[in-house]
Amino acid sequence: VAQRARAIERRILDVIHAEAGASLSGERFNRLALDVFAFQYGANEPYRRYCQARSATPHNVRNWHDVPFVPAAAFKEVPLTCFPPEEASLVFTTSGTSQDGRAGTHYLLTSALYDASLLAHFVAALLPDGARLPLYVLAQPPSEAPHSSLSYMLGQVERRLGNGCTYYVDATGLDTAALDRDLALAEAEGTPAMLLGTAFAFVHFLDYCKEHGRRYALPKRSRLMDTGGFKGRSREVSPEELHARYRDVFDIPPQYVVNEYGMTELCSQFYDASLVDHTQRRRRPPRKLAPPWCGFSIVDPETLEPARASEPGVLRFFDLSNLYSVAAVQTEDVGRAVPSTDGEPLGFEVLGRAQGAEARGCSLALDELLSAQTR
Amino acid sequence: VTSSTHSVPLWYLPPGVPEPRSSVDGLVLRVAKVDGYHIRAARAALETAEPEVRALPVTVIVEAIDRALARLRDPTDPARSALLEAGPVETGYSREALAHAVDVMLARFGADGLWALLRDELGNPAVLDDFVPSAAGMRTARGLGRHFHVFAGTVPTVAVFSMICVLLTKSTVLAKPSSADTLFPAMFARTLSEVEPRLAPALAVLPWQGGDDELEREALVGAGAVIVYGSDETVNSFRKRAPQHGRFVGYGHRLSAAAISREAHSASRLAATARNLAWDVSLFDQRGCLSPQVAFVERGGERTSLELAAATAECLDALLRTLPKNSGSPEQSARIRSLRDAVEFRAALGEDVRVWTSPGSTAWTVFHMSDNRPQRWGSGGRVITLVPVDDLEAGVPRLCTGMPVSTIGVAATADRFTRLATRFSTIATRICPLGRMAEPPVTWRHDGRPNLLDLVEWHDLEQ
Repeated sequence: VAQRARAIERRILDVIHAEAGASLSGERFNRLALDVFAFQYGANEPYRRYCQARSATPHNVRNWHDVPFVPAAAFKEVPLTCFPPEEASLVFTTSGTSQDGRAGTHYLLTSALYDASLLAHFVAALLPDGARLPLYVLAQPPSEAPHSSLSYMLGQVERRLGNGCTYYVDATGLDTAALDRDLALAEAEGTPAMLLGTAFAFVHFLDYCKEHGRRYALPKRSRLMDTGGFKGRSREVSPEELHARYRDVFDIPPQYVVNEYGMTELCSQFYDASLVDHTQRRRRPPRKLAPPWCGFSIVDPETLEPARASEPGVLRFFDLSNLYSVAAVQTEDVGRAVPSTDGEPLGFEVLGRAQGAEARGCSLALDELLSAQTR
Repeated sequence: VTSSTHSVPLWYLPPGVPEPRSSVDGLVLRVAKVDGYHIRAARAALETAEPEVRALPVTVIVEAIDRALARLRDPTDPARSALLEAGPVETGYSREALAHAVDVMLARFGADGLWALLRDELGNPAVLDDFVPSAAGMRTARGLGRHFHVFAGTVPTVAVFSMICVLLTKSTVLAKPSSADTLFPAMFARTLSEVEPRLAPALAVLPWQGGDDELEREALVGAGAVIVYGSDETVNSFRKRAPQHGRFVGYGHRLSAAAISREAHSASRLAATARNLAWDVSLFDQRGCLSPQVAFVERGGERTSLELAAATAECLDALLRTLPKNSGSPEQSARIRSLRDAVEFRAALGEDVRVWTSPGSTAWTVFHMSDNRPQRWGSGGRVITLVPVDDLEAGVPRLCTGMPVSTIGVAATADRFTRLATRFSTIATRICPLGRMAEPPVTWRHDGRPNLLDLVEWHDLEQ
């Protein structure tokens, strides 16, 4: 089994390491996906039982769209792994509390697929111009949040793609004064900056800037990545408003602002195509990009049939880099496919999180921290 | 903009206040943008109107409300057509559910109901008009001046009743409706202004996106009373910003449960109990906090809790014909789908859970699960979880520990009902028979608080 899995892993890594922009044909993706499904069906017992309850086996499923998608909530129930969970080298948990107070947990056998996946797509979406920039991180460092997939990801970006990095959030909150000082310095030195963090932390800092009349003319090609939402929080800030405030306070225009959509349960992340389109000088509709190794589909929540073109539905992902857990995950989020002129999906749009669904923990945990701070 | 003459405006402003810019959207006229100016103008108009409103005898106010509500029940009245035609899109409720709200529930706030409420809380309603004899002399009750209300968009009657209570205390109110129901408060205000022009300057209904601190601070300035319905977070955010000297009433998150005794699922009573439970679940799609989210079923009945769950599923399905469910937002369907899938996942793992679902849709869902695992219920959208317990007296309080319980709907024989009610009154503020959970009487004390007594100030005259 291990050998078979390693062989699949190598094929997936080949896909991930392929030249940026190389796409995977639907047929090749399907073959790889079905191999992953067959492996997981054999090696992941809870998943197999879920599949059996739905009468789906590697023998009767011919298309990755037809494999059983586990609800994201299943990650709270049992370890969904193809290996003994105590052998995991990385363990990520959702920080939001679930309906019954349990957190979703994603066990990773090795970091190889995760690292390859996150770095390749980060480069494609945020550094398409080959820039290497100093990082200003509005999130906790991995040493302080060892089970946060976001902090882990930012740590990898720091090590492999950064050119200096400072974290401004710790257990006591956001160090606005330090960030203020460092951004002023970046402005004075004329070095483009990359700001990364949760949307809520950005809002907190923007409020600070408004209160203290602070603005920075960050050098050209500075960029910003935010993540996490506001659904169900006391403050809800629309992406339009955020974009306007980023431009106003940091002098970073919307084409250099990239929103990340990710979840603890998936090894892959999804990014706005804004910077890619800008770099390629193409005008295309706003959308999130999925990496070639992660298929997505939108299903009608009423019937679970594929949603009609551009109709809203539940987002599902088949993430090949989830090789040792479960690749087929159904989110609690509503999205819509964004088609190109020839009808092929270019990407997707996230319309909202299921009401009452837990937002990705990171933004909310920080939200609580920050509101506690201002109280 | 020619078609706008037939579109229903989703706001209401006192006479003399300039109308906001708006755009036609199907059957309604939607406010394009509210700014601080509109709120200041509305505030000023309400304050100017206060002396005149205060001078109206309570009889005039009660009669006006009665006539306005009667108009909403009149099949020939355009106000009724507007509510029922634009309502499904604006509120997310089916026409049938809205008709029930108007014809049965709003009808309770007619003259008879309001006099009963006034007597129940104030003793002598005349105390609102003048000094009346009290134990130590004379006493009168005065309203708190201009109110600011924030609605949650749960059940359409809640907002209307909230505004009615203000009028009964001869005060004025600026209401911020929820985007999930701007229609009812706006239509009620408009209709009332037509039947009784003297009350036209007493109300303002203006919708804006919640969380807009600037607008909300404008609305809060100088308010004599602030009433907020919503999540605990929303309530707290207004509580912090409300004027120090005004009164603040917050109705935060609550949930309700059904308690079904073993006698209530005997062979002969199973069907009626299932019907009552299905009704309470279906009416208003569990959007309000009075609808049951969980049903505790006592073991030892002639029929099992599984049989009750199956019967409830059948009744929920039948109710889709008489009390249809509007197709909800994709977000809501997605949430129900994810709940179901998570429970089905647990079933696949061999846990003792069962699921009944509406075929090919998320219209209704019945879960049956044992109580050996702590749970928090409250998803809405016609999803009911049946939890078997050995004995209701001990089981219900134990399972509700830490939950903000509003109502417990009890299905039991008469004497068992009394005994259970005594026990449950320690954890819930309202105990009622199953089948009436979402339809409280007008004199119900909302979450344990009076409706009018909170909204007046007493003036004593000693002789």
